[in-house]
Amino acid sequence: MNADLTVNADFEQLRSPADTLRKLCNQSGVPERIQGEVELVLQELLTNLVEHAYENNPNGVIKIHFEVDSTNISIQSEDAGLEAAFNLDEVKMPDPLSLAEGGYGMAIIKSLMDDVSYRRLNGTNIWKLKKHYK
Amino acid sequence: MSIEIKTTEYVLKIVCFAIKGRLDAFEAPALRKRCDDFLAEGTAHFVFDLSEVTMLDSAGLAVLVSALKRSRMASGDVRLVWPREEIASRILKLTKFDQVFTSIDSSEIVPKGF
Repeated sequence: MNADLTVNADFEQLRSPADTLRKLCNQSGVPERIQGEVELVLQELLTNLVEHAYENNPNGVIKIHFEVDSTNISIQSEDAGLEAAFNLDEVKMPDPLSLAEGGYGMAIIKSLMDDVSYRRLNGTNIWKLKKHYK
Repeated sequence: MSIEIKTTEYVLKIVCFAIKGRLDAFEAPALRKRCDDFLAEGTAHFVFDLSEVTMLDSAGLAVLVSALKRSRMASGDVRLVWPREEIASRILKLTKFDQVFTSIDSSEIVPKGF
């Protein structure tokens, strides 16, 4: 099952993609625990795009594509915001004892998904996340 | 000669936030603002009752971490009532903050938690 949607870079609008993803997961019989994980991943990805790619400019546009089947869940996003300013390979979960107030989002995504890729193509950021669940 | 008794009374103020629903990037600023207001007026002990939180993301987590950091700087502390929903507690385990925050069973027994 596939779905495409477009949202603005506005936190208030980020719930609609989560609702769509949940619906697709339910239709494909994805276990509830996995649904929770991919919903968290989606939230972290979109929050990252709002805050860093578009720097909280609500006019920014994010295109999202979901593919859910009986074994895999894929999330793809495209945005025309700023290029990601970090090396994905070097992203690590911050030490909790440092009480850092940021830097968790991408580390959470990497720890919950099997494949995470990023590329910049003609001014567009493309994120592809995939989870194999069965 | 009678003994001398010096009595000092301590009154500990603890503020408990019971949160219902999603604590995500959209809702987190409102909680941060409330917490900031109490910190500014000198409150240093907080309980965040997350038992009815349905979703917690890193923006919500950042508010809890900020509260912990600032309350400790003011010689206070933070206690959490654990979320019942797995999706809400998942992030606390993933980030290992389940080993940093002290949890209590219920906000109704708050004074015993400090």
